Amino acid sequence: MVKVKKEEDKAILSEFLSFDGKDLFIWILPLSFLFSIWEAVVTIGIMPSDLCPPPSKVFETLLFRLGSPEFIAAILRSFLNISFGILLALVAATPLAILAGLRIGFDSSVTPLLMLVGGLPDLAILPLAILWFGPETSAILMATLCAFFPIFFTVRTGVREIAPDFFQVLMIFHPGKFNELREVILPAITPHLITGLRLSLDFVWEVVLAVEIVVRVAGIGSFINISAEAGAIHDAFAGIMAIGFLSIALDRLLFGFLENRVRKWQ
Amino acid sequence: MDSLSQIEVEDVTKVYRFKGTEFPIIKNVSFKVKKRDFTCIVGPSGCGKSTLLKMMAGLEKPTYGAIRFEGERIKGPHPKISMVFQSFALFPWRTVLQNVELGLEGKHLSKTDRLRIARELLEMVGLKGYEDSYPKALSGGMKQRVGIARALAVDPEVVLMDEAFSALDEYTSAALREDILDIWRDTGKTFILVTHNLREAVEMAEDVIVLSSKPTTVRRIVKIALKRPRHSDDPDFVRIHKDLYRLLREELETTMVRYRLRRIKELREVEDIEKMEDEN
Repeated sequence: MVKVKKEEDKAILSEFLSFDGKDLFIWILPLSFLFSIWEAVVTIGIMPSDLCPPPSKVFETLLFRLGSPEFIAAILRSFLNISFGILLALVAATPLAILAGLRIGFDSSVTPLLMLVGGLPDLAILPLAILWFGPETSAILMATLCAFFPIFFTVRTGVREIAPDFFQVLMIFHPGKFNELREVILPAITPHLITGLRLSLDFVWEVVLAVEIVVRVAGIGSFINISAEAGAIHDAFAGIMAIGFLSIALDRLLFGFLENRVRKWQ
Repeated sequence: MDSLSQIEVEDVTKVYRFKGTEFPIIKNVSFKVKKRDFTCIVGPSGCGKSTLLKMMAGLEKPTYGAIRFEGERIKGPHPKISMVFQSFALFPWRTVLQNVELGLEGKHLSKTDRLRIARELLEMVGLKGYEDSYPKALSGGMKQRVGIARALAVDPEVVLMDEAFSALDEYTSAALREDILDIWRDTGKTFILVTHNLREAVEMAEDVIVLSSKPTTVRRIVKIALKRPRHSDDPDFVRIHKDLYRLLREELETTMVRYRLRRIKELREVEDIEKMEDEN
């Protein structure tokens, strides 16, 4: 059975990684169209190339930078800030959201409070966070803060949408408190959790880059900032491009994989 | 304990509390269900039939009174009492086979035994070949067949069915009813079906327990001594159906507009007479 599952996973994964001709055509075509326009605009001279380098130059720089340890370290640093932030948020938000979804009393006492904090612009807290925790930890904590709410609210909705019959089925056929979590709640919230994580990832990129740029915490954000200030525009563009590719990779590999597992039954 | 009766509902009252006030929804209900019997519980909608069934399943507790299974008071779900749901309530993230296996997972069975039992039951309900499908790919009738297989997999003595055919179209439910009767005859298990469909009750039941509403009490227990297979155009079938219908109809009258208008008119007339008397 376990073996079968692994093979299923492999099939899903390969389905994701293998692009057949049609697939390739669909996403490569608009992309190359965009890059051609950009290249043309800069070459003709509509945009001055010292403010906006052509894509060929950007890719060249990116390839060159990928060989440099500092650049890789900066990307890795940002990636870790984001991952830790989301992981912490996941650990904190999921149990709270499950409780809030199950118990109306808990929901009505805790959720308004969370909404109050969540309603604040995340960066409003940044100066205090730096004061209390220092710049490095602040980047992670800010990420946690803004990943928390999408996860909390999507999971809470997911728990609320579970049919009460499901719990009765479990009481009759497979009783046990732990079973409620394992057999009903966790599978039922998975689709919601994926949505929550997707939203989180978007928000977290923004806030982590902002912290890196404003407070000059090491990372791809400060790399872009420093490059732009030093007039190395092609380096700044390479940094932005690197973030773009990393996001696409995360989206396709992680979420695409999870979503396909859920789509089998949903 | 009556040696024949398997389930005894003894003077059960269920009260809901809302803002400090008590609302009795079921009041002093008593009846017995014999082993291997097919019992239908009918009553007007919203009369607490399902609540009664859920108490028999151990999912809810009576406020007063007791429900006994083979002499033993039911305090929670019992391994020998299983249930089929109106909404099917299959777990969408489990395959058909895994849904049927659910009740076997808590028991001390090897994986091979579990699979064997689940496969046998799926074959019995006519779903061989669908083991690895997910519920979303199944029609309503097929989903309920999985629900039935899941309920039978735990080898229960009593199968409770809560409006098990009500969410299905006419043809599907007719076929499924016949299958359930065959299963009942072959397995010798006790079946208790809650339904609002009187024709269904006459077709299937040995005993029909007719409930009245607001609060729910037992109006009458009707024995149905028709030979099987029963046909709805048989004159005796028609007569029993009519009798049951009349019983419920009287029950419904009290909630109908016509009845209430008549009551209002009567009250007005009394008021008018009183007024006239005052004037005189």
